[in-house]
Amino acid sequence: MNTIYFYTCIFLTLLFVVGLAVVFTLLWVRNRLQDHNSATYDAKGPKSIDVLESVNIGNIEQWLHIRGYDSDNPILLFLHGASFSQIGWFDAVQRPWENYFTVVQWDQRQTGKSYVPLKQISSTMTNERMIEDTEEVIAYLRKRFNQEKIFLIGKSYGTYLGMHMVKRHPDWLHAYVADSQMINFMDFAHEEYTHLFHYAKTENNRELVIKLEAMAPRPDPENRWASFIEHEGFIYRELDRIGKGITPLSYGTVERLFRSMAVNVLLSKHLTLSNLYNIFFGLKSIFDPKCGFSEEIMGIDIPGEIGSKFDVPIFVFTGAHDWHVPHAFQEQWFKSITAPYKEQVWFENSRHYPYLEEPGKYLMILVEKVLPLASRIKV
Amino acid sequence: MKFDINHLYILFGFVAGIATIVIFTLLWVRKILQKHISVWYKIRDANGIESLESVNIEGVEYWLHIRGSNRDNPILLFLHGGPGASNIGWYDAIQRPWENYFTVVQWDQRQAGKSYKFKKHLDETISHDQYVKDAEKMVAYLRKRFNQEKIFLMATSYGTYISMHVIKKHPDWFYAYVAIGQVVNVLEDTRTEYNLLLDFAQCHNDNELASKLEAIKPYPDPDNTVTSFFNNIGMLQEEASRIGKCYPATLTESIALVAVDKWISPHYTLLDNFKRLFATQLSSDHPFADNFLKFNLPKEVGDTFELPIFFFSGVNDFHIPYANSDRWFNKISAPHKEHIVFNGSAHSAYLSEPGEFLIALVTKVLPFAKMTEPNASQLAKTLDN
Repeated sequence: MNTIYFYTCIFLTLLFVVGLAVVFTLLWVRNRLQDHNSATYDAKGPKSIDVLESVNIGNIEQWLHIRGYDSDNPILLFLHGASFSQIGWFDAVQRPWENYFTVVQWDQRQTGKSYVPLKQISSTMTNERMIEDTEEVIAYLRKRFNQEKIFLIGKSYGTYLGMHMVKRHPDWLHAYVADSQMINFMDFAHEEYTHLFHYAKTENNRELVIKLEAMAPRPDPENRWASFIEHEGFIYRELDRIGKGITPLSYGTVERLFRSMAVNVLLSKHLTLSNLYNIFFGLKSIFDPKCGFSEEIMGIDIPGEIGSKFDVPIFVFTGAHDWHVPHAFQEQWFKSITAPYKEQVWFENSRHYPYLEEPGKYLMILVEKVLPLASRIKV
Repeated sequence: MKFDINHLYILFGFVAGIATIVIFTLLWVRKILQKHISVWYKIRDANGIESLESVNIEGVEYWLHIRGSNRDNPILLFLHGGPGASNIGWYDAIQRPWENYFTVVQWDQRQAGKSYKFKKHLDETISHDQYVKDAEKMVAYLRKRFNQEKIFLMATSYGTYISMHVIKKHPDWFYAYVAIGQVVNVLEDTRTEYNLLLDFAQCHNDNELASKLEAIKPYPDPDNTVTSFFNNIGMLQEEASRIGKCYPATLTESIALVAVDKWISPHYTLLDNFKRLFATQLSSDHPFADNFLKFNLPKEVGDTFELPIFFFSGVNDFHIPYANSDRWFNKISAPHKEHIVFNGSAHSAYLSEPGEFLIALVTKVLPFAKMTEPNASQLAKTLDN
């Protein structure tokens, strides 16, 4: 026998065995920690509810995660941001809320557990379809839990869906919470940029000024999405550097934040290996210009679409250090709307994620200010 | 094939190789998770504090874990139960929301958790009095270190025994005291636990539980209290947890949960985890076992206190029975007293109802700092927001 051939065989076999041992150990640890996590966040009580289920929404299977300590508590539906599915890493965040609300996480079309290869549903990735999905989800929840009205929280793109619900179905909602409201996307992209630009000028940061000047016009009306997304990562990093970005102070950099979320996702009992594959490799396509969804997002204009008069109590949660969606920009919109009740809640020590940075205060506000609106007389 | 000793070597080498790979993979995963947890809970607020440190008190090195998003917030010292049921290493998630309002101090007490030392004579120093003395020194240290005239004291289970003595002696050191499951009289409490379980078994026709309880009758055996108590208390807690009257998971599961948390905690070294095998766990042959079973708080400290007192009780708690705590509560006189009842909880309200727990801490307890604190305006602002 050829000696080289023989040793290569031995080497490859060994490598294979080593790889196998590593992979099996990792899978075992994951399995162990999945159980650990679900036991840690277990909401056990005589009337508690913990359901992970798929429902047919807009002709595809979409996943809901419904958790609460007492299923008689009012429903709180969380509308996540674009491509930012929350089933799998939100357990720790929402655990204290579950004593007061039955919290529903919904992975929207094309994200997280509700992923469908883009080819099959590309034409349905429109704002209108997403709004209709939201209507269907709420209708389903109202019926299933026999609740006339529910609470709604929106984050990022979710606030777009949320405001449309407020406009179309005021009688379905106790109140709506905008966790940093998306208003007009082109304006937002411009505001985020100019805010940083002014800062760079005031601080005499020549280098940053030059870099930002090179990006102008941002966003370019001729080339909206590409001009926006091309430099968004750079702006994130610059904002994080001065503690005004999307990253909570505790993480330091946005990469660390995403890595942390990824670890939570990897160890979640709610996600299968194929869910994980889709989450890590499938989602980029949602922002592929060919999909058309990115243009839909660029076109968002809340005041233009639905005006500024609403019939639902509205809360706007604002991180005082949020320059990603600049707080002054949110404040300006807040002042322009009318609603039966409206309040802008400031999180003094937060950036874009108050529920990560001030989880205590977040809960206090939800319970002391938002929840009481549930006791309004039912029709 | 003929037996050849070399085959055995190869087999042995193979198994050892695989085991090494598995161990290294596990250590690597542990490292990633430690990093993950420390990033997830890191405090970087300009005026925040996050410190894992040891401090020498009474000649013993104790570990403290101090965390809060604003060091001007009042100190909340937590006395864990057990004795020996340390909190450092598995409390990060539980206390995270509290840290917006308090600077939370976790302290692994004498021969518990991270504070365990391989010194036999230290085990022998353990006594009720020593625990109380340690706690007094610790509070004195914290008041000085943070330059806070008063702090909050919160305790659970056996920690509430220690606390009652400390607040009796030093009412002026504290804004208020919070007892999560206040112990009263150890033998009476455990007798009640037994009777509650027996009633439950009879009401629910749980014959298996009934016969288990029957088998240890009389409990605790007056002629042989120590053995009878320590040999059966685990079973009682296991059964109580199974029916939702002690821990949210069963006792075995709860211990496993804490163990996993500590294995992947950035606050625990491998050596700390190894030491856990030896750290204080009371059993009938522990030098403290005999004395442990001799406390009766109302007799020792009376019913009159000079500071605000809160009882946080899970209405379903059989282990430190709710009714016993409540009976004592009714006799207590204090400038302010309040019994906050957690209707969905048993022995661990902070696990079962973390939401209610935080709201009670912030709306009922925290205002007592506002009343005397010089920087009251700032606290008021926190509350008003």
